[in-house]
Amino acid sequence: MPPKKKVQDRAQKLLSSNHSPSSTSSARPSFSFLGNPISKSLPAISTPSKARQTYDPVTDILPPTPTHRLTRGLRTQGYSNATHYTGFHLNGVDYKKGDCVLCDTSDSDGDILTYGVLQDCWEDEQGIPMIKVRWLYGKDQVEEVFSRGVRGKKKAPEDLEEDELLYSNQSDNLLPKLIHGKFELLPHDQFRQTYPTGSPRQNSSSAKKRNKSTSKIAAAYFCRRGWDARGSVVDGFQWEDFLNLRDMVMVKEGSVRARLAAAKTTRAAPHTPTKSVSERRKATKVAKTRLKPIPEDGGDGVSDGGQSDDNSADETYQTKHSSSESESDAEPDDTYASTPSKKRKRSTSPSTPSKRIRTTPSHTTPTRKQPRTPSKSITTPRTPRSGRLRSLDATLPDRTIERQESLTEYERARERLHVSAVPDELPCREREFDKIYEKLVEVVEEGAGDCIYISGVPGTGKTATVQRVIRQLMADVEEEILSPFQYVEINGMKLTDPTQAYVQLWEALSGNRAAPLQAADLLNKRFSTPSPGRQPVVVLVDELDLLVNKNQKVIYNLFDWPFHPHSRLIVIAIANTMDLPERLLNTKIVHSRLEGVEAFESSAIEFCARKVGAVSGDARRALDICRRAVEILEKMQRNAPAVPETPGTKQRNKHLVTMGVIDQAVKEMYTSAGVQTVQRLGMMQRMFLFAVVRRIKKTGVGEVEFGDVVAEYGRLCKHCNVEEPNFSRVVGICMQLGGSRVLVAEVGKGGDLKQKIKMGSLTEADLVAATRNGVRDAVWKLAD
Amino acid sequence: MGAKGTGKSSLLGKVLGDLRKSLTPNIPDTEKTGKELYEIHLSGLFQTDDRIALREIVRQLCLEREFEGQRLASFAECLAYILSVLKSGSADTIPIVFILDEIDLFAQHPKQSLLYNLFDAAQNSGSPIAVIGTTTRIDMTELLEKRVKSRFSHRFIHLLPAENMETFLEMVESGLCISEEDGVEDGEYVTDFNDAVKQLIRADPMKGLIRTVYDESKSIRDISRSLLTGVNHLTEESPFLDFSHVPAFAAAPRQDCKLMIVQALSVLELSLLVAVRQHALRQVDSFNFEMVYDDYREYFLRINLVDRDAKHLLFVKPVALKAFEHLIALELIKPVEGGGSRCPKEYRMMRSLMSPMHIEKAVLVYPNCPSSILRWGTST
Repeated sequence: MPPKKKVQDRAQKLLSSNHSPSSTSSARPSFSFLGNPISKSLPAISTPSKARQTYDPVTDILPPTPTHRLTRGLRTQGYSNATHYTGFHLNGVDYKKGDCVLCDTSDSDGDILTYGVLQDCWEDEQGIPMIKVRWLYGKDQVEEVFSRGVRGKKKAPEDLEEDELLYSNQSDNLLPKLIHGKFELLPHDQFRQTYPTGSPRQNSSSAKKRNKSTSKIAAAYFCRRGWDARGSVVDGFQWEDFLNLRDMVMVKEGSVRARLAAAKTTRAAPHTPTKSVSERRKATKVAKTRLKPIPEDGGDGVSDGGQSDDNSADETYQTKHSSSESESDAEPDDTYASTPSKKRKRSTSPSTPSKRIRTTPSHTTPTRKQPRTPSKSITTPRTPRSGRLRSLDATLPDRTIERQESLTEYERARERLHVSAVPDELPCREREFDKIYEKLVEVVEEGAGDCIYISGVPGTGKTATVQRVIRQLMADVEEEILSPFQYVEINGMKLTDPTQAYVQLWEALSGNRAAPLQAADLLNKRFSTPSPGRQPVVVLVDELDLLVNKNQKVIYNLFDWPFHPHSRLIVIAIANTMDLPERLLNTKIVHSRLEGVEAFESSAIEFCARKVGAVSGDARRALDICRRAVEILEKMQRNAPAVPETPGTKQRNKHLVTMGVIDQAVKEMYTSAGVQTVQRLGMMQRMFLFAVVRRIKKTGVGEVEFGDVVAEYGRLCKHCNVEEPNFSRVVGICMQLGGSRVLVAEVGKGGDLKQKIKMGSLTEADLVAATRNGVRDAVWKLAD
Repeated sequence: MGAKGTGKSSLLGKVLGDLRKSLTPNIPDTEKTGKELYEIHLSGLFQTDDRIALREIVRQLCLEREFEGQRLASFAECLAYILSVLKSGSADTIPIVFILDEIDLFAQHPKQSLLYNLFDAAQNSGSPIAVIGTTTRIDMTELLEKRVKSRFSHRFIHLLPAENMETFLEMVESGLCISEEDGVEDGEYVTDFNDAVKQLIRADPMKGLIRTVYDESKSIRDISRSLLTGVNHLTEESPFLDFSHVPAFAAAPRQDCKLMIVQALSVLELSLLVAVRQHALRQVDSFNFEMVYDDYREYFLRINLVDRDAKHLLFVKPVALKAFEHLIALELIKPVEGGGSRCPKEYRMMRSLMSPMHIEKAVLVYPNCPSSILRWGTST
């Protein structure tokens, strides 16, 4: 524990030197590492000296940063080419490991100053100095994170004080230039001793310049609690225990890895997710207890909340707004600082100095800002461009007539067999489920970004599997086994234009609407700037192939963003351009839907599965066939003469769907009506068709000319002693046949002798067979 | 699915009407609000792309839900709105029936995103949605993209034309007879009228007409079109249908328009047409004015030696050229595609739109045809 004097000294130093160098634009930023390199890593692979030339901290030009992916694997394995230092010197201030620093993490949400603990600093393979900061959460940030992320139950601790910070389990790697200054973090009791009336506030010049941020930053804070990304607050926390930060880091990372390992083993073993989840939970509990400084009951303890987060968030907003009009107000007020997203909604352009807004009464907001008002708040039809459509009630009204509950076994079976009735378990996809689940758990916990690509023919359950995984993950979040994450669904087919994907993604992430290009910019900015407390985002991109535009920019971005160092974006892409055949359709899929409904013979289901599996393996098709089969059976029952009811198994079996019924349904779906259609055509039409066939046979070319066919037709009529219809009528006949695609006739050339005619979907043999009936025997002789 | 005139739309209309009735069995027609079912009608001929189709859906949805006077929003907004509407439903919301006429034309839209979204909504959202399409094309499913195809339930209802003459006659009969729904009160007249209809369509002149239509297209629509004039002639004096009221032009289902055009041609034009025929008989597909005129002149100079009357039939070149241009204007002959539009019109290559046999027929029916042309036109 440092003596009191030293603390005061440090505070003094902070107050005098902090912020000023970086804020004065004339001063050149300076950077250097302190002390000798301490390298705990393996010998350097690339020489740092050579790489150093690429980065000039003064001009601040970066060589292309390595993606997160490149460095991540190495670091976690303990290999590194980075040269570590104990501290560095920036703009006249020395920073050492363990110092508490203010960071400027301005991103698309606006300018924010955040608090963190400097954990490490090093020079990476390319000679870029990097620092690692463990985040600390101030009061407002905690409230914001709670209101945004954790769903429902969780509430921010009520007794958070103005100068209190929560120690989080999230950290980020940053460039040192983002560091703004230092502050003092003390244990609670010591803080009370030193500053009985609260921490002294300093009017930070840099903050003033930024205007958006807090105008008053305290020189010292205290910390007495920890905070977990899942939203639980850890009480009974002694800051002194953490002064040796390196230990803390090791403990934390170790526990995460242990949990992941536990999750993996439990996921891999059983195939039923529900069971394994409980096991996994146990495993996590074990891992949790390993976390030394945190008391065992810590993870679950949340201080009982009173008011809801929304209310509290609203209140901060209110106070902020009222206080913002009196600038001379001397009271410390950092509510203003850290509700950036809320503020953004009000003053939409981030570049506008807030001073102007402060002096402007809120009701005279310039009109050009209106269109960018977030869509959710539009209830009045005042906005010009947004269209009133969105403000309309997009839900359907209820039926005016009560729906009858399905009563008979058949009706229930039909309902179950509808494609939309997805069961809780997805049979035949356990392995895929496990794979995707494990991967997602790993990436979400790691806070990294990643891409998953799933492909397969339509109807094999790609989307259903992913949605099932997401549901499972949501349940995990609910049970606090997993960190919370955001889930966004984008379907290429449901977009009018590939770039609309940006709009949807941005809207889902921020709640605001933007034009496609603007949204792309904003997303880019968001994914490349660090932000504490950002949740991982899982994006499901369905029908990916439709997002391909000319320069493939959309797909490029979607696959690039996950590897931005601060994106925490996970993209799951689904497409079926690459056909990975999965021809084995299992009867389990049908069985799983029909649990408890007796309408099918098991052999019938087997038969159906084989039939569909042989063609496409499309589960939708199989279900449709089964549904149709039930309908056919139902109809048969209705039409059948009423059989006197004799209870017994024999009678029941008679009413089940049999192979015969399935066969009938399959035939109905797969056989084209071509032959039947031709059989029912008028005599003249059939003769015309016949003339076409003969002409094709004669010339040996697939395409014949209308004029020749007419001549052939005339001869045919004469031969059969039939009165030949006049020319216009023959043209009409040809058009009719062309319309139903028995023939393919050149469009827009009706009546032209040179009009090209081809056979349609029917083969020649089909046609001859079909025309045989009904056409006079004389025609027939000609065919040979 | 069925050929033109097999009654797809009328069947659909009837079914929907019955469905509405069965949904509200106890409410009399006059008190119906029409809110037990939403019908959204689209036609591939009107909604030529997805953009227009989406707007139309939004418009009809708004109309159904009495959100009248909504300003139409952008394409993306329309799509988002429709998707959210379709997603919002549950088993207890009002069912929506989409009726897509000429659904094959929707399948020709790029990406087929409208069909995808409708089928997807019908299969995946909980709301009660039915999509019904009508088409004449028997290869409809092959037009669907594989993802769309997978979402299509593959339910087909084929409407086939009448199987034999007797059923066709019955169909005609039911169309002509007065039924109960028509609301004619005079019961005696109804029975008399219906008896008269039964007799009429089974007696010869009428039956012959029906037979022709049956042989050619089996389309009820063709019959109705011919008989419309007959029905219009019904008065108090002649209360029953009579074949004599069906005029000749209506009785024949379709006349040969080219023959009729030829009948109105001048003799010079006809003789040029016959010269064209001579080329076709010689297996020469394309020709120009000079070639035709040469043929024409040669023939009439030769004829002149024996037939003095034919002398006045030979015209000078400029006059013949005018007549030739008239034939082009009537589209009996036509410039060859890519045949060099710059060359002088006398030398521009042409091809005939009438076959030699057809021209021969036309010459035969030409009123007061000079004997020399008649001979030339029927020679082989």
